[in-house]
Amino acid sequence: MKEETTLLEGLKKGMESAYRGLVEGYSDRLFRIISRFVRNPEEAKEVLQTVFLKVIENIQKFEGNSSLYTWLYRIAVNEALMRIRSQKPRREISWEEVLPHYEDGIRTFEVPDWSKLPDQQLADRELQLFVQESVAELSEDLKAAYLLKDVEQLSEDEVCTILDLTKPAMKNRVHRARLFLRKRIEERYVR
Amino acid sequence: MSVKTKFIRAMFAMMHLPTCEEVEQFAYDFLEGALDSSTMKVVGRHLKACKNCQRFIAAYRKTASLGKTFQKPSLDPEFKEKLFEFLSHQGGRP
Ligand SMILES: [Zn+2]
Repeated sequence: MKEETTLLEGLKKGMESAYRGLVEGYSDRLFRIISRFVRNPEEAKEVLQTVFLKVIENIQKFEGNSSLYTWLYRIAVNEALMRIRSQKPRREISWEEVLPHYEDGIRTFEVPDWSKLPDQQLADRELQLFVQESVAELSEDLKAAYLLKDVEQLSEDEVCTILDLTKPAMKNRVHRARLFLRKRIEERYVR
Repeated sequence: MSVKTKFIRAMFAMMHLPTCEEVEQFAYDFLEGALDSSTMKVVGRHLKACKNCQRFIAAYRKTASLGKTFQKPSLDPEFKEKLFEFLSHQGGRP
């Protein structure tokens, strides 16, 4: 925390050592989250550069209401979303197909048994690529919540701050993203 | 409404257990271990009695853990150096 304060002061004064600290301390993490959205590495690098530019342009306005780290993440997520917004439209998800079916609150269909899908296979490169393709199909809202929570493993509070969400809204988005991915994997790998 | 689901629902109600739909709504907090102990207990008892929800929770748990296995791309040192130069140049401007 103290380190962050020193870094912040340095950035506000335009000190070279602070720029160095920003790059050393945050560029890998920010590149990682940007790459989850923007999957072409060269493009992700461009976005990262834009993020850092925005950071120094806006650093005087940053009042420290959140930590520097969540503020940086927020800028990175917004820039990454902006970049993919211009890409080809994804196909609409049919929630009718994805959400479980109930009658009187009781499951009406037999749920496929995932124990037939060994843990080993879940770690396979092919399945991972398939999951990443499926993540790309999610709407922006669900995608951002899922990537921060389940992939980057940030805490609930951090995800809420970065995405400006209440906790129930955040949980709901992560939940729906998981339901969608579960369905996709099931269609392809289970049964 | 089928007779079968009506019967199962009545059975869960009699045992004071949540429905399958409620179990799904608890799934996120169930995984986080964030349910209060009495809810945890009834969800656990529903799972014991319901094969479909057992399978659902197992699949949901695996799906939630998949994100951890994503590869972690990293930046090359040359690009970091370029970023630093870019920042020093931009930051020096009024
Ligand atoms: Zn059930």
